[in-house]
Amino acid sequence: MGYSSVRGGMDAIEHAESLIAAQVTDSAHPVALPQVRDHVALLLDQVMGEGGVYDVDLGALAVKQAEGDPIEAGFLLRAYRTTLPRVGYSFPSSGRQMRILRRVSSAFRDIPGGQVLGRTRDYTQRLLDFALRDTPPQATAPSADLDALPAGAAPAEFPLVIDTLRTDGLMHEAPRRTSDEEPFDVTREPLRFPATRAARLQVLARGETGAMLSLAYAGMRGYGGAHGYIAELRYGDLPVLISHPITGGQVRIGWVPVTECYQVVGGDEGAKHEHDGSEDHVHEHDHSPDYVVSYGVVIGRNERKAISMSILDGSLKKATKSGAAIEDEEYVMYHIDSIEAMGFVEHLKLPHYVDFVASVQRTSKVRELVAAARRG
Amino acid sequence: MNREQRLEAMAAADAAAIVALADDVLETFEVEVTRGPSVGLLMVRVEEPADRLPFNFTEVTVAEAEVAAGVHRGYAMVMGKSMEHALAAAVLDAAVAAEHPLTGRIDEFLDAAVAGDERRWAARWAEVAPTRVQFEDVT
Repeated sequence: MGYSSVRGGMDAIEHAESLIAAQVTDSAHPVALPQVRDHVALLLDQVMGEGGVYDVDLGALAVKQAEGDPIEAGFLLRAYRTTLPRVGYSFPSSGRQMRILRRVSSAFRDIPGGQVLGRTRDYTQRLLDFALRDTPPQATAPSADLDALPAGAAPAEFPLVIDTLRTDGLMHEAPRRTSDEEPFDVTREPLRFPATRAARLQVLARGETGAMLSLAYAGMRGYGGAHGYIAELRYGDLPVLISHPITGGQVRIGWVPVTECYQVVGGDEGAKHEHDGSEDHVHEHDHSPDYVVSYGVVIGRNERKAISMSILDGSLKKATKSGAAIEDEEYVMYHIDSIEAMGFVEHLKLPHYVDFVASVQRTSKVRELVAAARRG
Repeated sequence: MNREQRLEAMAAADAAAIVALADDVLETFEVEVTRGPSVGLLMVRVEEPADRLPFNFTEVTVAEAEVAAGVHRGYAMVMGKSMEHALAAAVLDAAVAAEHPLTGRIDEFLDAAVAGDERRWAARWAEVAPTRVQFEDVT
């Protein structure tokens, strides 16, 4: 075994790449993109969220090409997005404008509009269903007769549960208008610390589900952080709103499916959270033990990440820090990005021959010096 | 249907159907393409609910086009990467602005697109409506 730098290996690399390409396509049952969309939807949602791009076709292609590796697929999306121009920014969409397909509260039993379980595994037994092995293909006909459904059959909107707390005077009133502060964009500017809350929320929304779950879990087990009660966990479609370039009016050009989590951290604990200090937030209860909201929102159906995001948002908002890692924005923001983390950890498997040669030479030299010293 | 509602309807319309209608319009309607059609990324912003703080949530792919027919302009942006959809929608927008003879047919098409979108949403809601919880008090 020689410790020296080398060249070459291109033939081997090219063959290795061809093996990967074949793995994706060589099969009696090749995966079609609609199958990814229809049957691996949760993975697709996770990939689009961590890749920071909502496009079902691109996401499905990334999942297929990456053989189902969510971080690799997210990397493909992030790489692709750099080839496209940015056409602009949407108007901010609010959860109040969401079309709801699921909505539960663990803080209140009776909420305006009611609780809607929607599509959930929360109450199922985790048993393998062997009947699925032999499931015959199903026709993709819609389950409901579209023509028989009256327009407007779905509720127009569901009120936010946190408004109940506001009505009861247990939470700050909402500012009268949307903040006009230009949000920091982490896709355009390098992160700086202390980060704005807008930057934190953007990084959290693009964070890796497993990393965020791990940090949130550590916080709940006592390693710092803040968590409270889920006032509302909702899934549905959020409108994408642009300014019409001819009229200047607001236009909805489509919808993005999202999961939102509103977590309330309460009483004395909540009062210790930071506020922005603007006039909008001054009110008569400023010295009362208010509840505060920690927020999570993610692409698609990913409640694990939405809840984790709300826990991390609340932990980073704490004005009085305990010194725990999950209350340190630099620690959290730098370590939840899957692409950054994957690149840094996995680069260790690439050639470090020169580094290791230097290490071996250094070790040999030290050994020689120690041996010489022992000999006197 | 005003111009904003028109764009909403065109964005929700079936891409193949709107392209077919635009082809019919273009048989008697000349336009100059003044923007795109092109594909890009729109950064979607979300408002955090407690402090009403907007932040950059995710990018979405969009296709965009603009046309001119004399003094009349037509514009469209649709989600996804279908430049044909965006260009066809811009053509229809200009055609309605210019009061093209097929305006009535375009209006009917857009009304149907809106109704179809509402029915699809109603169908999705109908699937989950039975999962609304009816709590019972146990005494």
